[in-house]
Parts: sequence; C-alpha cells; structure tokens
Amino acid sequence: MKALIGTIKKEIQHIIRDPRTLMLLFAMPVIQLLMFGYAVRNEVTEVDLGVVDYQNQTYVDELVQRLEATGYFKITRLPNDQNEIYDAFEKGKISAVLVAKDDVETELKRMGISELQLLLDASNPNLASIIEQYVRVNLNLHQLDMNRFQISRSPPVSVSARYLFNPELKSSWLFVPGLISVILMLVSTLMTSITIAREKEMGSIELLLVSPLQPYQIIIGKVFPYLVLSFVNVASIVFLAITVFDVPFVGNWVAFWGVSTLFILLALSLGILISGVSSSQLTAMLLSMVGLLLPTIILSGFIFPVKNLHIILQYISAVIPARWYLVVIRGIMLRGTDILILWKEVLILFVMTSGLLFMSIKTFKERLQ
Amino acid sequence: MNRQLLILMEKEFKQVFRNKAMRPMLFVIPFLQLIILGNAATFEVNTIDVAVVDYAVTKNSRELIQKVEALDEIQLTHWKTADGEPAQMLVDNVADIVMIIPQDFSEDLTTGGANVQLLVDAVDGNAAQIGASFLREIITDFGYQQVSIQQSGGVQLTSRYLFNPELKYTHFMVPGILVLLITLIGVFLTSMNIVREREVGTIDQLNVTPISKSVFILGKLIPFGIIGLGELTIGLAIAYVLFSIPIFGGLLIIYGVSVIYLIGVLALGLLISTVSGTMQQALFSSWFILVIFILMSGLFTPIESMPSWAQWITEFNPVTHFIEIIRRVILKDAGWDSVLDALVKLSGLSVMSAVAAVLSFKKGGD
Repeated sequence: MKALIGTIKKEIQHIIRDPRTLMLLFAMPVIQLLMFGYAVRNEVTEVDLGVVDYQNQTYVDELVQRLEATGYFKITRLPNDQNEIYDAFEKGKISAVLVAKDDVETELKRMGISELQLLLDASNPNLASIIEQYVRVNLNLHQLDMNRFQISRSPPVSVSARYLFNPELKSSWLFVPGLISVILMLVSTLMTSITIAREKEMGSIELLLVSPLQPYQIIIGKVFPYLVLSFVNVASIVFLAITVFDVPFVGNWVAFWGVSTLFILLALSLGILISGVSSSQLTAMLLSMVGLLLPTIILSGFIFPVKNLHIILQYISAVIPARWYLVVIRGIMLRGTDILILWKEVLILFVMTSGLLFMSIKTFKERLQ
Repeated sequence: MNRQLLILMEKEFKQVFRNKAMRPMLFVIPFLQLIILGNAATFEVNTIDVAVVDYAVTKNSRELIQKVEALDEIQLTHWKTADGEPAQMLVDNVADIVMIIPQDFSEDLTTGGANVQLLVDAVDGNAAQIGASFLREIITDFGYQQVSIQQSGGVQLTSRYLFNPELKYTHFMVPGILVLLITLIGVFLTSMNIVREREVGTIDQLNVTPISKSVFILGKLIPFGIIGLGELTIGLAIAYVLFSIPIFGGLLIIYGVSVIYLIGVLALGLLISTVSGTMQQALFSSWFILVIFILMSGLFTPIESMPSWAQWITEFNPVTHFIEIIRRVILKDAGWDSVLDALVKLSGLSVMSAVAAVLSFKKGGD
C-alpha cells in the first residue's frame, strides 16, 4: 500500500511540475465545449432560399410566408432566368431555389394536383438534405391547412404531435452530451498514452522495473492521478452544459458518475495499453491521435446517428467506446432513462474496460520478463 | 547551401522511416480510415423506430398500422394493445416515436373527429421533425381514404440536386476526410519535430552547425510536405478507384492548392513545436487546434448553422478553405478563377503561419 501511494505521489509530481500541460488539460475541454456547444449544430438558420414564381401565385406566396416564418430561411425572389439562377448557385449566393410553374394554382383547382421544384446545391449533400427535409416538412403542413380549407371540414383523422425531452428542438441539447463523450474519450486516452512510453524513452522505466512494485501497482499509480484530473474535467463540462447551454439533467446523478468513472477508466487504460505497445512517445502519440480522433468523432453517433449508417458500419462502430457511453449519458441527462434499462451499454463498457486493463497489465508484465 | 538542405532533408526522411511502427501509421491506418469513414457521414434519416399503442384494436386501427408499417423508413418496433405509460417507451429508448390510437378511434372516424397522438423523442430535433412529418402524412391520408373523400393530391415536391445529381455523400465526404487526415498527420509530425530534438538533445548538435535558420526551417518543411503530397496521391487514387470520384478535371489545381495548404499547416506545426517546452505540451496544443479545425471546418455540420462569431472563426481555418476549394473543383468543375477567393484566403493564412514559424524559431535557443 505504501509503495502504491509512493507511485501515485511520483506521478502527481510529474504532472504538477509541468504547469503548462496542466493548464492545457483543464482549459481545453472547457474552451472546446463552449466553442462547439454553440458552433456544432445541424439545424439550419438563415438559409438563402431563392424563389422563382413568375405569377406571384397565392398558394406559393403562402408557402413562402410559412417558410419565412420558421426563421430558418432568408427568402430572395429571383427572376425566371436559368443563367442567373445557375450563376447565383455557382457563386454560393443561394443554397436552394424553389421553382413554381406558372400554373400551379390553376392545376390545383382543376385537377387537385400540381408540382413544385426544389433546386438544391448538393455539393454539400448534408446541407442539401437538411434543407430539403425542412421544405418538405413545411410543405406537408401547408398542404394540411389547404385541404382543411378546400374541403371545408377538418380531416377525419387529425394528428397531434408532442415533442418530448427537447420541445424547442435545440440541437445543442443533442450535441453537448456528445461533446462530453468525445472530449472525455480523447483527452483521457491522450493523457495516459504517453506516460509509459515517456519513461521508456527517458530510461526511467528501468528504475520502475527493478523496484519491488507489482505491475498492477505501477499501472494504478499511473492511472489514479489522471482519473482525478478527468473527474474535474467531467464536473466542469457538465456544469457548463447545464448552466450555459441549459441542457437539462433529468436523470440520476449517481448513475451518471458511475458510468462516467467506468468510461474514464476505459479511456485511461486504452492510453496505458497504447503506451505499453509503443516503442516511443512519438508512436504512442501518433496512434492515440491519428488512430482515434476521426473514428471517435464520426462513428460514435455524436454528429451522425449510428442507426442511419450502413449495417456494416454499424458493426464497425461497435468497437468505438464513446458510442456506448454516449447512448447512456444522452439517456440519463435528457430522457431520465433508468440505468437498469441501459444495462447492455453499461455491460459493453464494463467488458471493454476490463479487457483493456487486463491487456495493459499483461503487456507491461511481458516487458518485465 | 543546397547541399546542406539536402542533407537535412535526408536526415528527416531517415528519422521518420527508420521507425518501423511509423510506416503503417502513416500509410495504412489513415487510408483504412478514409475507406471506412468516407461512407459513414450522412444526415439522411432512413430508420425511424415507431412503437404503436393501439387502444382501439379494430379493423380500422389495424389498417392504419399496416399503412404505417409499409413505409420504408419506418420500423415498427413495438405493437402494444396493452396498458402502461406510452411515454415510458421513449424514456427507455425503445422507440423514436410512439403512435397512440385512442379507444374510440373507429367511432370517431365515422363522425369525423378521430385523433391520433404522436409522442416524439425530440432529442435529435431534425430526425424528430422528419419522423413526425412522415407519420402525419400517412395518417391524414388514411383518414381521407376511410371516409372516401377524394383528397386533392396536393402539391408534390420534386428535388433536383445540382452539382451532385445522385446526392452522393462520398463525393463530399471522402475528399474532406482525406484533407483532415493529411492535416492531422502533417501537423502532428511537425509539431513533434523540433520539440523532440530539444527533448532528446540533438537540437544542440544542429545549433553548432553553420546551417542558417531558413535552411533549417526548409529542411523541416520540405520532407513533411513531400510525405503529405504522397499521402494525398494515395488518397486521391483511393477516391478515384473505390469511390469513383472524378478527380482528373482539376488535378492540377488540387496539387497546386495542396502545396500552398501544406506550407500553412506544416508551418503551424513547427510554430507549435518551437513554442512548446515538452512533447506533451506540443501534443495537447496541436490536438486542441486540430479538433477546432475539424469540427469547425463545415465538413460535418454546415457553417451556415453556426452563429456569426463562429463563422468568423472559420475564416481563419485553413481546413475550411481547402475543403471549399476541393469541393468546388471536384463537384462544380471549377477552374482557377472560380476558386480564387478561397485561394487568396488560404494563401494569406499560409503566409501568416510561415512568418510566425520563422520568427518564433530562434536558432541556438535563448
């Protein structure tokens, strides 16, 4: 026990005598959460939408007014001139154009059907599909209103929708828990990924190896200080999430901290493992940065919902720890899901953590012999 | 002078490639990621889990459920006729939407006042709206059919995707991810470089040589620039072969712009390296900057959605401009004149970081 405390003390001293790194470790997650909490959104605001309606038809007018009222669109009337429209697209002045034929209204009266065309700048397919979905949703709503008016009776079956957990549909509520898991995963892994590699490079690892310390004691000594650091990080970013971004926390705090501890341990042991298998600091850093950064951002479900991915990619994403943690904390924070319901995700995290811890101790032991 | 530069470059190449673990990390892992992740990024909503709570259990309600089930995007996960709190299914995350058919659904249908309630999990606002809209359309249609009112077919929306007619996400994402990977590796290698020499002590050996500051910096930039261009070439080949992305139209522009871009990001890496005291500091600093570059590049979430101060920050993000140029070249078939504005900004940023790198580096230390 005394030996263990000694290694922990040593590790803490390593951390404290580099105040600049310590500052970075505390400040980075906070600054990043503040920046990305505001900047990473998938709702569109002020999309430049051009409208081509030569005849100024009432139907189109009303639809455009509805679109404008959503606050998502900035409407510009465009002349019916192919070249000019194309030019506006090329220069990036507009992202979409709604084109109405001259006889939308007469067709509607005569045959009950008509057509509108939406031209989209699909060179950014993500933006294009968000815009298309917005226009479609609003056209549907508009259609309902028009039918009600035309048939002069309300539809036989009406639909009332209630939006739960995020009634104002704020995308920050979706992304902030995602940011917590991505930042936590990456920072925690980076922190420990260099510790053993660094000692190897400096040669001080030999001193540890000839000491009477058990491998697990050395690992615990390395993990513990960073665990405390990560706790501080979780506390500060959750505090910001709630105070600055008004993200609700409806679930159980104990469950949240329990799963977060598990997840931090997972990331820290992954770091230790990387550190153990790498021959130098450089390769350890490269592995934990280049190897982890993009897969964690893209495959964790942080920005792109996992269930919309191709089935093969869904399987691949199963190895990304942040994916499972994210499901749990979104559930706890936003929906108030009981932790027992999320047993599958917690179990996966637990298995991953034990596996990584076991492997990191084992690789360290092999070095001993 | 030239000989000095060549020798320095040779040294850097040797240092990178003699490390066996480096080779797969520079030339295998990034491209595996490119292949896997290139397919992964999409906002398309194609899976909506709907749970049905049917209190009516009549012929009509079953017909309605069948209609809902027939929609491609919708998966019926639960079909309950039983009790329990419907909203709990959302809390427990077994469904995105719960559709509740009331007990007197069929009677109300004949009098014309039936109501179907949707409980929507709105954590993902976009998906929630789209899902609700799908269901609203089906349910309303169903209602009109039941009372055999010929509902006016209404206005259909047909979309035309300009510049990318088949709406291929990979045409946008693959070049973007390639840019990110090159940036990651470039900034990483350079930001570690000088600080490592300092940590290992070899910087003193370089300091006592007659090599000038500019040769020193060039000797660091050029090798990593060549590695970056090599990675770009492999990546473009993958983009062409596996993703059939049309790269040949603008190959000259792509390489020209890449050189300017690489000067900027590599110089930024060197800048981080010179101002950092240890490799750890350099690692965390470059990580911090890279995550900002990546998440605020407009690749994953549109710049148009960002608040104006964040949009202003993206102007200083070289990744944004590079992605914008590549996108215009590959998808819009743009020539030099159409990428000029972004190119000017990118060059400005590159010059800025190159100057900063040279100024910050003091040969001989202080």
